[in-house]
This record gives sequence, structure tokens and C-alpha cells, in this order.
Amino acid sequence: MKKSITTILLLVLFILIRRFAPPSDHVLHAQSAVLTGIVLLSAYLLALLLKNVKLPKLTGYMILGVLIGPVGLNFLDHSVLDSLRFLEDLALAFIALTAGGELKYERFRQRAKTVLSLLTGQMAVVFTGLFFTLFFFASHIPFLSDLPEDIIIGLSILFAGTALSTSPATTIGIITEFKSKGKMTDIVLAVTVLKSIMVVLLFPLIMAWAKIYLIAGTSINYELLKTVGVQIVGSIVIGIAIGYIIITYLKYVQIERSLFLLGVSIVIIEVSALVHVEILLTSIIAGIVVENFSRKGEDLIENIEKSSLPLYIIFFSFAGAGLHLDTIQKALGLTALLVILRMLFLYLGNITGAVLAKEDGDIKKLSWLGFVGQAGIALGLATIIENTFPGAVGTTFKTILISSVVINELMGPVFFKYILIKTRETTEGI
Amino acid sequence: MTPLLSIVIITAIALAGSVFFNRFHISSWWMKGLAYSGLLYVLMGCLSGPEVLHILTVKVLDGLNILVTLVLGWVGFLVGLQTKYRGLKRFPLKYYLNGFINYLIAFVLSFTLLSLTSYLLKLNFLEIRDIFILSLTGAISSPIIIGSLLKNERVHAKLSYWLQFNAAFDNLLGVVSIGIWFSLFTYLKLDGQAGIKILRVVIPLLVAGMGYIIYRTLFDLLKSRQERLILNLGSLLVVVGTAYYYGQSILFVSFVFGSILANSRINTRALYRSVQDIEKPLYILLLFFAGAYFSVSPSKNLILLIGLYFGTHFISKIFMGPISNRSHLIREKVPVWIGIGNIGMGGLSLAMIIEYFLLSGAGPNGLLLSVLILSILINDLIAFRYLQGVVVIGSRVKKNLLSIK
Repeated sequence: MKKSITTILLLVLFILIRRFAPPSDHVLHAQSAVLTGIVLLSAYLLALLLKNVKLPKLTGYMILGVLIGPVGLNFLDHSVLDSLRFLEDLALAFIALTAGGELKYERFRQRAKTVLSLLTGQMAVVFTGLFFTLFFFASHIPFLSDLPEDIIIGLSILFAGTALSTSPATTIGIITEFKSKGKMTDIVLAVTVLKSIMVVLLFPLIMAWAKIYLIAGTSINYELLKTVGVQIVGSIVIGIAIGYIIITYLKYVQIERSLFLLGVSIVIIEVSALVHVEILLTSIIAGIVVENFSRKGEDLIENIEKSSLPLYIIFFSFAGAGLHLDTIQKALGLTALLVILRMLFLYLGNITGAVLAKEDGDIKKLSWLGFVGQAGIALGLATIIENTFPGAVGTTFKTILISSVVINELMGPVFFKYILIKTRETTEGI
Repeated sequence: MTPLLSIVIITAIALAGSVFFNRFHISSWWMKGLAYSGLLYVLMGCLSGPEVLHILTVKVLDGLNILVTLVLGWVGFLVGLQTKYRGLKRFPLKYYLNGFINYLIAFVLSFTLLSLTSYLLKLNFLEIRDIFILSLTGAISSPIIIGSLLKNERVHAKLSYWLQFNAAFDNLLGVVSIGIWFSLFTYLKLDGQAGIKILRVVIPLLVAGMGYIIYRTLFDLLKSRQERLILNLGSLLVVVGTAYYYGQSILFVSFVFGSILANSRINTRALYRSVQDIEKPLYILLLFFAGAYFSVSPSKNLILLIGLYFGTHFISKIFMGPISNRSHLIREKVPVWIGIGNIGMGGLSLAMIIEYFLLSGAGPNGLLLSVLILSILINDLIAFRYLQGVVVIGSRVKKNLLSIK
């Protein structure tokens, strides 16, 4: 009762604060500060409330985001979200550093075969399965039925390509929330992080390939591939450099480690923007370097975890606010089809990988549920696609893709929590 | 300069600084003074800022606005948390009277002298509100210097105790003054009916009260360390964001919030524990931001204003000794020149000037901030040197000098 009343009170308080505020030059910054406070408190309270119905806290944060985001009460409107983008990037950098920092080679060496098999199985089956299904059944799918064959091939490549993406933030968020440990946790985390790296590496190639079919007269743009290659190598090099800087600092400087990590995250964001590299990839690589090339991995995780809760709340509430729920109704049928197909091929790909790795039991039957979540990367990719293919095709594609991401992102944490409880790798939240 | 090179340089400075301060025993008084004043962090901020290495570009600083707001709120909140009535009652009334008189004289003298010289020298770049804020910052002193001496040296107990009280009390008066000033300023600046204007001045304070109710409700519910962090950050952001929204002093409104909490039934020891975790990093951030906003290029106005500010500041504080002796505060006589030990400035004055820029929209690369940063360094060194001579009676085992508090 206390929780629900306080949540409502906080939202009413914001309405009153906004109602009487005088006009000024710094309205946006001030509003952002108040809203961040309200999000921190009310998202956490809502998450506690939803815990009673066995939903993970991450889902609670996202639901609060949806409630006060542009499709809900519109407190967190686009201008506020833009002004707080930096905070969201900061949270992403921290989460990705944690994800990399959890990947200890020695721990995964004995599970390397399973991880690689699942990764290969999922990527191969999801991509080819979705591509061929959409291509061969295009005449029965409303959005695709009237389009020329080349366009259908191009769009099928894009749908299949974006279906590969997953959400390392959700995975690490759930692992942190439920303090899970064990085989399933290790495997899902490793596959998710590696798959995210693969998606970042492969997506430019997929885009270039799709363009050949979607834009008449386009051939493989080698210059673009070169640029992308340089960016990827850049991400890795910068990630390694930052990893070593963190190691040196943790080793020799005994003070203000959390503050230093905040500084490092800011540097990652800035450098990523300057030289056009991926925050996610750079941070994951930096985390992997710290974990595997020093004895400071534990220190890194410990220092990040000290302040991780506010960052998770901010990241997932903003992600919720950014979910375009209103788009679902525009393409409900196709969205549902895409979600079901993705899950089906994810299941089949996972079984294939498990069989190859001679895995049985829970890993074979259940682990696919840990990969349902999709987030930031897929949304980013959808925007790139819309910009690359302006007009009705690009916009409709984005709508469908975002809608499916919304559904996957809301289901992902619930499914992952379910398998962690089922495999007894967590005792929290049971 | 490339970002990567910038990172390397900053890390190298941090490493070198830390190794230097941690590994070597610093006997030089001025190095100690500089370490106490937080110079290293100001320097790092300055190097990272838009004028040197461009790591903290204007865009980044803009993005970090919410963090600056939070830091200001935290400073006020901590001052407020120290105003527990039971704790304040322990000090004799004459301490308060003496502290108030010293503060008032320092402020009035500072303001009068600065206004007069500014008028006589035709310093048109200085507005009356600039002089006002400079005088406010000049009237307060640094509890950090005396706190550090207490922590690291064997000191004259009663004198140090009184000096520490004095510094803490003028900080409190400084926060209250800036709060009143911003309230008046907002009231006069706003258009509309008197009722609405008063409401807009009062709403941030009502939200501080509301913040207390929310805090009190959730305090027993959110018990773990991380949950308490959420509670502290969330409620403080709502309070400081509202103050910012309404053009009121963030320092003052968060002070009120802290003061209400300190005097409530909430277990303040537990509250302190959770607040302390984040106190030092935020204070360092304040120094860092100040450094980033610092205008590197020296100008005639800057040099002139530093001289003027130092002079007026010095004169306005010098009366502290004679006045305090008349009040018979401690059994022994207070040294006549004790005012010199009180010219150190510290974090709150920086917070006040940053708040002034944030709320008045005067732009971050202001002359006043640069004047203040340089004055802090000069004044803290002088104050530290003087207090070392007067207060310290022996030395203890040295601790990490970067531990400011």
C-alpha cells in the first residue's frame, strides 16, 4: 500500500511542480533533474510492487518508463530523454563494462564448446530460417506481398539480420538482480555478449548486402566496408587501451575508484562519439581486458556494483520510455508473426547448437529463453535502416521492427528469470 | 590534441599525483596546503576542460548539468544534516553570537569595500549582484583546513574546537544568506500577482517538506545499501531539481531538506553512513567541475579582481581576533591575527559561485569562478600556514593527504 501511494504521490508531485513553474532558460535541465529523481524512486517502488506478481525488477523499471514516457503521461518526453541521453549512455557504458568484466576466460574455457556451438547454431538457424521463411511466404504476408522480388530479398535480409540482436544489458541486469551463479548463467551471458559483438561486426555487412537488392544500381561498397572495418578495429583497440588504463589505475591508485570509473565511462562515450566507434563494443572489450589480463576483475565489478542500481533503473526506465508501444497496433499481425518466428528459430538454433556440443538437459531445453530479450542495438539498427531507406518501406520496416523489439524486451527478463529459478541458479525472487 | 593522448595525460597526472602524495612524506607546508585545498582535482578538471584537452567539452559539461545540480544539492544537504538541534544545543550561545557578528562584519565590509573600489576604479564589468556573491563567498571560511589539521596533527584543542565551530557556523549562515538572496531575487524578477510570486518562492520549500514525508515513508522500506542510495539520490534530485526549476538556491533548499531530516525521528547515524559514502566523490567532482569551467587565459581584469578580492577579503576577516577576544570565548586569549587563519575558503564558496552561474545564466566560463579558484589556492595556503603556526602543537603519523575530509 505504502509503495503504490508513494508512487502515485511522486507522479502527482511532478504535475504540481510543473504546473506552477515560472518560465526560465533552464527549464529542460531542471525538469530533467526532477524527473530523474522521480524515476529513481517510483521505478524502484513499482518494481517492488511487481515483485509480488513474480516479475523481475527490470520489467518494473521499463513499465514505469512506458507509463511516464511519450506514449503514456508524456513526462519523459523526447526533449527530456534527449537531454538525459548522456546519462543513458553512461549507464550503458557501465553495464557493458560489467558484462565484459564477467567474462573470465578460465571460467569459460571448459564451456567454450557449448558457448560456441550455441552461438553458431542460433546465428545460423535464426538468420537462414527467418530469411527463407519470409522470402518463400512473402506472398501471404500483407506488407511484403505486393513488393517486387528484389525488395523482398532485401527486407528479408534486414529482418533476419536484426533478429540476431540480443540484449546484454538485460542479461547482465537480471544476473545482477538475482545474483545468479552457475552453468546456465555463464553460458547465457557468454553467448549474449559474444553475439552482441558479432552483431556489431556483421551488421554493416548485412546492410551493404541488403542495399544491393533495395536500392537499384547499388553494388557492394568497399569504401563503406573499409570504414566499418576501421571503426570496428578502432573499438577493439580503444577498448584494449582503456582496459589497460583501468588495470593500471586499480593496481597503483588506491583512491576513488568509483569516481575513476565514472571518468572512464565519460571518456568511452566521448571517444566513441569522436571516432564513431560503438560504446557497447568498446566497453565490453575494456571489461574483458581487465578481467582476463589482470587480477583486478573482481575489483572492477565490485566498484561498479556499488553504484549499479541507480544506473540500471535509469537505463531500463529510459528504455521503457523509448519503447514505441503505439506502433504495435499499426502492424500487429506482422509483428506477432515476426516475434513467433524469431522465437521458433531461436529454439531450433539452440537445440542444434546443444546437440553439436553434446549438451543435454536444461541447456538444450531451456537456455533459448535466455536470449529472447532485445534492446538498444536493435532499436539503433532500425533507425539506421529507416535513414538508409527513406520513405514508406523504411518507416514501415522500422515500425514492425520496433514493435517486435518492444514485445521481446518485455518478455526477455521474465523468461530469463524463469530459467534461472528453474535451474536453481538463484534463490532470490522465488 | 587527440582524445587518446588526453586520456593518457590525465591518467598519468592522476597516477603521478597519487603515487607522490601516497608514497612520499611531504614535509613542505605549502605542498600540504595545496593538497588540502584539493588543487590536484581542480588541475585535472582544468586540463580536461574545454580550454585545454577538450575531453570535457562544453557539450559534455552540458550533459553533466544534472550531476552538477546533484553535487550542489549534496553540499547543501550535508550542511543541513549537521543542524540537529540536540547537537547545536551543545555550543554556548556566545559562540553563535560571536560567529554571527564575525560573519556579518566580514560580509558588510567585503561588500562595501568591493562596491567602493569597483565604483572608484570604474570596473564596469562587475555588476552589483557579482559583488554580492563575491562578498557572500568571502564571508565564509573553510572547515576543511582546520578539520585536516585536527585529523593529522596534534593541535591546541579548545582553539581548534572553536575555530571549527566558527567555520561550520559561517558556512551555515552562507547557505541561509544565499537562500534568502535568491528568494528575493526571484520574487523581484517574476511577473504577475504577489500571491503567485510568493507561491513560486515557497513551492521549493514545500517540496523539501514533501520530500521529507516521502523519505520518512520509504526509509524503513528501503534498507539495503543500494536501496538507501536510491532513496538519497532520488529524493535529493526531486528537491534540488524543484529549486532549480523555480530559480531558487539549490544549496539552500537542499539545506532545508537536510535540516528537516536531521531533526526528524529518522536514525541520523544510519543516514549519515549512507550519505558519507558519496560525499567525498561528489566533493571531488565539484572541484573537478570548477577546474573544467576555469578560464585559463590570464587577463587584466582577472589579475585586478584577484588583487581586489584578496585585499577586501583580508581586511574584512582581520577583525575576527579582536572581536572574539571581547567575547571571552575560550579561557585563553584568541590570537589577535586569528582572522588570517579564517581566510581559507573551500568547497562551499565554490558551490555558491557555480550555483550563481547555473541559476543566473551568466555562462560557465566566468571571470568570477576563475577569481574564486585562484583565491582559494592563495587563501588556503596562507590560512593553512598561519593555522599551522598557531594551532599545531605536535605531529602525528601522516595519513593520505588526498583524504580531504
